[in-house]
Amino acid sequence: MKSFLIKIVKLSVAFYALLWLLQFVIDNGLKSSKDEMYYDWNKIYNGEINAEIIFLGSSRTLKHYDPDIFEDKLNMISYNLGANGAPFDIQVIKRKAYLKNNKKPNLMVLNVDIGSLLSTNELYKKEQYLPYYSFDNFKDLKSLDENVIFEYVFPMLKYRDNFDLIVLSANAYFNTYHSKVKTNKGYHGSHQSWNGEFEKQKKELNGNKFDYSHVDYKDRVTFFKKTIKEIDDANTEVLLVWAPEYFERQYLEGDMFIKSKKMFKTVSNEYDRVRFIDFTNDNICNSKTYFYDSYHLNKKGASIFSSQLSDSITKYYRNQK
Amino acid sequence: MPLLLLGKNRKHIVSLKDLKHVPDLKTLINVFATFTLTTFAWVFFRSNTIADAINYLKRIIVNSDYTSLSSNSTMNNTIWPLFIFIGFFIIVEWLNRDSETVISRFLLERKFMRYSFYFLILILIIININNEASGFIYFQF
Repeated sequence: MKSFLIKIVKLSVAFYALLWLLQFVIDNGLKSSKDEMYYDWNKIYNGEINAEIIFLGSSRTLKHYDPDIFEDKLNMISYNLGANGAPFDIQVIKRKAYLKNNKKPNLMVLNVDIGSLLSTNELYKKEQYLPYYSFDNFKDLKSLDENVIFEYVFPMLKYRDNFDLIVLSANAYFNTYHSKVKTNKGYHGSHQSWNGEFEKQKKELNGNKFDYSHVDYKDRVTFFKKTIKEIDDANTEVLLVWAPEYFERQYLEGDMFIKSKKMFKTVSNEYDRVRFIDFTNDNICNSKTYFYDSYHLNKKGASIFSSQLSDSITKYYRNQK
Repeated sequence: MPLLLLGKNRKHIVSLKDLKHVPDLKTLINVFATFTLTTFAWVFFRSNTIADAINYLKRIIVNSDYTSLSSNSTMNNTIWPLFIFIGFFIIVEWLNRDSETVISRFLLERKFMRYSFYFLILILIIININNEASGFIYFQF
């Protein structure tokens, strides 16, 4: 019995070590992958961005802020770090990784809106974080996904049900297939015209406004304030921007829209290095020509908005100097 | 049923040990045909109605994408890794056809290969654990 137990222990230790080794190999493959999912993450962790202006936020950041326009107008290196399904509590992972591995930006533009305030208890597209599990992001990842703790302890568990990632990692080693990167400096403009989804949404609402009763608003505001304090403590200039939303949507967002805007303004007033610009009253919000749905500008709208915001940045920071 | 009634249903039973290490084409076709007919027959036993069974079979045969599984109520699941695993297990099964366990004499005599096999099985188990995070989440933002 004793020898059996010793054999089991020896085997377990050996297999545990081998699983770590295998996971290390897969992680490294993904870290060198040029696949769309890891392209920006790898640049962030390799410290290859070092932009003077960075844009953080959800899909509304990803689709709205064109770094080429900011670079042209401001003559400052710009990079869009927006991501689909990324409210403030998810953005923190990318922000910390960026600041740890790249030069501190001169200006951090944080897109704010109701969607960014919402909380999430699941990591959207969790596979994007897998190769970069570390002590640095453990706490943030764990707060969003309770399984993360087991994935940190048991090697290879994070790749369960993700056979495609193992293949992707192998492809990276042999420099074979990877999906083409559709973004430019993190920006993913859309050529779509108005897609009519908003009309369907209105029909479903049947005359009612959006329901935000499930949102713990107080808790979300506390989280946002904590975020701003962390950024301010790092002596970084922050520009809070509420990007354009189609005007009819603003009505459907009801009281939440008004009180959130007021809250962002109040928070910005509490700090010298934080400003708030609101684009929800801009003319661009009145025309479907510039949107592909009520929440996202198309490329045409994004170009106008990026240009306008560049002008605002010039105005603010020229006055400051 | 006719074979059962005529007492000819066990006529083609042979000892697994008698089969060659690499099966000839005839054996391969026979094994494949028996397996296919049996599993197709199971569809009729497992379906609520004959129409359902025919629909299942139709979806198996006529499909726009044979590397994924989906229905009206589930998300699309890529299954091409499954083909690799099935192929692997068929080979293991064939190599061990005359053994009561999957650890054949071949593996028992080769310690390194046996432990490598255990490790491979362990990896297959881990990467096939269901991951709820792979599900589809729709975000408004």
